[in-house]
Amino acid sequence: MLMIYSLLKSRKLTVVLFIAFLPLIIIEAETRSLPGYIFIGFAVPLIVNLLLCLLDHLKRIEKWTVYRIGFVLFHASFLVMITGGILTFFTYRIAYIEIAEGNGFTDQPQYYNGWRQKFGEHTGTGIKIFVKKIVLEFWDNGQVKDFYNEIIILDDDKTTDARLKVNGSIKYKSLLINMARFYGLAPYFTVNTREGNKSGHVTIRSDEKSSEFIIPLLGHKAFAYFEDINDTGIKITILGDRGKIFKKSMKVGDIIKLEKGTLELKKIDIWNGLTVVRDSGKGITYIGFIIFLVGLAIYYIRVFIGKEKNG
Amino acid sequence: MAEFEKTLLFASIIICAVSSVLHIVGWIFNKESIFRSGRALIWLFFVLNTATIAVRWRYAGHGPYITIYEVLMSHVWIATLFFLIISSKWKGLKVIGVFAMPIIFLSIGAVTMAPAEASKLTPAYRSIWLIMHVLFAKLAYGSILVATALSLTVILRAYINNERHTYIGHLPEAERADILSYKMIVASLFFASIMIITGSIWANQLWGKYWGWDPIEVWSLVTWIIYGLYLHLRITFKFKGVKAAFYVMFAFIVSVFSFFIMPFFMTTVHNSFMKFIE
Repeated sequence: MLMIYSLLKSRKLTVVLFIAFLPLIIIEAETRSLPGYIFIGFAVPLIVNLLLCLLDHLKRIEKWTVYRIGFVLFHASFLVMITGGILTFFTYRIAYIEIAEGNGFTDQPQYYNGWRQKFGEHTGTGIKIFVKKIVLEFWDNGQVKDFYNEIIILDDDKTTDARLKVNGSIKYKSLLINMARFYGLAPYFTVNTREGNKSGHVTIRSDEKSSEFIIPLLGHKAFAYFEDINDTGIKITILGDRGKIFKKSMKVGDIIKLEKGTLELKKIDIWNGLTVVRDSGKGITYIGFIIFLVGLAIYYIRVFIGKEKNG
Repeated sequence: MAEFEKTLLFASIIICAVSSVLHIVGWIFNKESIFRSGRALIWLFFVLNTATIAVRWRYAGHGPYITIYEVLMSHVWIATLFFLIISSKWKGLKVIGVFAMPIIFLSIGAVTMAPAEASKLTPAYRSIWLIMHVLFAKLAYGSILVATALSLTVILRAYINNERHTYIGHLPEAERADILSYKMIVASLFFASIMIITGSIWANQLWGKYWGWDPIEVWSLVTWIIYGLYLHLRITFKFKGVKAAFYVMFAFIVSVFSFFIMPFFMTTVHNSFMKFIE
């Protein structure tokens, strides 16, 4: 028992663990395939080792000095950062939505285009987010000059207006709303059939300039294209019954007659991708960052200005 | 404007090469005047490098922190400035220019391998966190460069007889070089920590996650751990002298791999800044 305790509080073990950590993170960066429990399994002995080393160090301190405080702080910060990292690992969820200007969504899985979480069954917060305006301006060479969303957050009876920028995520309660990198045109179609009608946006990414979709009610596969973000029309290809192909340039108001119904282009909006993130560990990790920098600065300042200035 | 920038860049590369050669010749053949000419040329190189960056800044309309070309170019600028300050401030360190200048020459050589097209200032780059991230990456590289040159001194002092090879006697004493190298690594770890932290804050603002397993991100962490281990070994196990100097050389190779080689060969957000929201 004593041997295990001595091993766990050994400072040589810290070196071994950090060296072992190197191939692990390189493999993960290359393959993105290592299961999380390997990292958790690795973090446990590291936490125990750090904790025991710290306690051992604290026991041996006879007189507190500024340097000692720095030493304890920057070592303790690792524990804080690892705790934050583990919390992030277990609580992180990210949802992605492609949303056209003038539309809204609710923070619930069924509203999103993608929803990823590692643990648990989150049902979302129910907070509503409405994209009032998307501002997208370009430089002469086609690169983006300005890009932001004017959004409204609706939570119970409370309404909050906010500007969501590329470098300015919006924190609202436990959610962090970010702009994702994708944007483009979103033609709004209405399908009319004898059985009824249905309307909706098709989002076309600016980098791909085409999008494949299935026309609801009719079931035909179709492709929508645009060439420039300022286009006032789109091109569409529909794979009809018995191999029949419809190709057409459409302006707003144009209607394509198909065998079992019609497809009308009602309007063309602009859309962009947003991500909505929930991460309970981030704040703790950031606190760890601050403690680390403060501790490191306090501890090593002696190398430059204290009695150890000359070694 | 771009042609003028190119002319300045190539002039700076030639001056850097000449400075490196003069440093080495002056040092080995004990010719003080040649060595001093090499030293003077560092200032000329620095002026030319500054002018190259200034010209680009003027026509691109933003600082040198967006494309890989600009980032590497400003890495060299800060590393040179760092070396000039340290070698002027601490006595007897001018001689380590024999190691620092060839490394700077190779670094500026890497700049020419990067695509030189300028990018406009897109919204993703308008972040104080990004500017801090890039700035501290440069400071980390500058201090690593000086630490490496000092460690090389320790190794040469240990393995080359300075009675037969008198030029070795011009190098700083091994013990002093070792201590100064340690100081530079302390500084580099601090700068690298701020670089990683500010980078993660910027990534969080941009993508909603502070760690994305990007190859450069990971290799920066690997470099950070390697330098962190050096300090841990030094404090805990009195790791110093030649062994420590060899360790620093190894760490330098890893850091060059992270800073200069990875962006050319890996698909990473660090080499696709221009692609982001084009």
